[in-house]
Amino acid sequence: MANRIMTRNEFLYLYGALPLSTTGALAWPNLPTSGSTPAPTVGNACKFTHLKFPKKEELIRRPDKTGSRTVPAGSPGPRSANWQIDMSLAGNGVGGIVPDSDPLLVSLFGAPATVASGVSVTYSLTDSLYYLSAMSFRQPATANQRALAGALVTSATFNFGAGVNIASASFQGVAPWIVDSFTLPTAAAADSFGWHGMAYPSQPSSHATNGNAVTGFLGAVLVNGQTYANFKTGQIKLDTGVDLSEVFGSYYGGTPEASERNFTAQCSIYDQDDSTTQALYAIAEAKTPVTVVYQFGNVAGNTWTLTLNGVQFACPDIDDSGKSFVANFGDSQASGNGDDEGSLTIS
Amino acid sequence: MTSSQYRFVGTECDIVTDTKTGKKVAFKLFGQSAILSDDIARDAVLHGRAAIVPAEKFPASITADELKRYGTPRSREGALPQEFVVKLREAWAALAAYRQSLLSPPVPAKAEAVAKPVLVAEKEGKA
Repeated sequence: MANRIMTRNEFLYLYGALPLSTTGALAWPNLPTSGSTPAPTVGNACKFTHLKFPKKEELIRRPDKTGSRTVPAGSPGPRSANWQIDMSLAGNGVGGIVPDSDPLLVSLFGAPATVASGVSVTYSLTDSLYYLSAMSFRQPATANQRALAGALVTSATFNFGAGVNIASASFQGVAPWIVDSFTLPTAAAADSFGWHGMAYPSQPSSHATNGNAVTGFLGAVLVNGQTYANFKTGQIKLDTGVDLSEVFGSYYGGTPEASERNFTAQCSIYDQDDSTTQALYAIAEAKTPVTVVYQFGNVAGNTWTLTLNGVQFACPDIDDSGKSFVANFGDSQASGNGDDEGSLTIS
Repeated sequence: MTSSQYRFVGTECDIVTDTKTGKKVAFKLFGQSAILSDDIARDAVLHGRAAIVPAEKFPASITADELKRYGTPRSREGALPQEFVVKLREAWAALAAYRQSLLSPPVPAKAEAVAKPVLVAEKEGKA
């Protein structure tokens, strides 16, 4: 009898992130192994809310005329995987220990965190590229299990503010392919990413996940050193500008390409007649680059401080749909002078 | 398989002891204690980054009243009394020291009998 697969019965394990060479011919990183056995043997579990690991395989249609209007069968085309992992924000809960989402953050910022033992972890930008692997395990174990090989984060979106009970993050990215338990036994070596001839791994028998979810409506926002008590909601989008190049000689994407990063912030404030609100209007109109500090949550060990530098605010759109006027500042871009447009500290 | 008592120094932690059934030990309160298999606890601390320390390493300076007052994450929101912050850092330092001791166990007299320590970065796939 077939088993239905319940959506709650799924765990995610993250591996890495490891530096990826962008010079020369790319040998895509393999999925993690422990000797001759696929990992995981131990857990790197991470709680999440939604996960999308879609295999994308184009269908190539021959364009030549056939003398008929009937479409002929196509053939398999290039492969890729545009993935997404959504989660509640959660630090470890102890200062100086990276969160469970660390591999995603390392790939996002392009460098491992700087750890101040017992105090904080800080992610700062570099131009390096880091890839991660991820595995989803569903119950029952006979369900199709999926592993994401050589994943790079292309963007992350953070949401918080009044009315947002839990601050959240959504990570999107690219990867050459998804290896799964249904197709691995018959997959060719080039399609197995290091697991060719191996049995698909079993889920670790135990694991740990850490940190309380960050309360989305608690925190602080400082613009140009000024606290905005009338801040309402915010969304920060960090786009890494990374993609996989098309390659001759393979079904899979080649050496990653990275253009400029695009870090933007949207925010809304309750419209007021005070001097700080007036100052924000002026900053937006003059396009004055300012530092914006977003703090999500305020529990020691699980306080996220995201700093964006050189932010040039969009002019506000005044919204009268609610009981109070709200000024919405749309995509406002961060800028800098070399890997300094953004950083994240969890303390 | 030996078991010991461990105490929690973080904000929240689920140690799933059987991933097939989802059975877990849920730590919700600072200072909360639970008896865990030492093997599972070791893996949870080293690879799962769980914020637990052997009970004897939990700072004795933290009082029962402080545990009652600051046990939940909610109760630790915002500025905390400096006296408790010092103790919180002491607990975190105990965890850091415990993690380090698991990474680099003391070398016994017969060093050749000890397996080469494996860096956590290697085990976590970060090497």
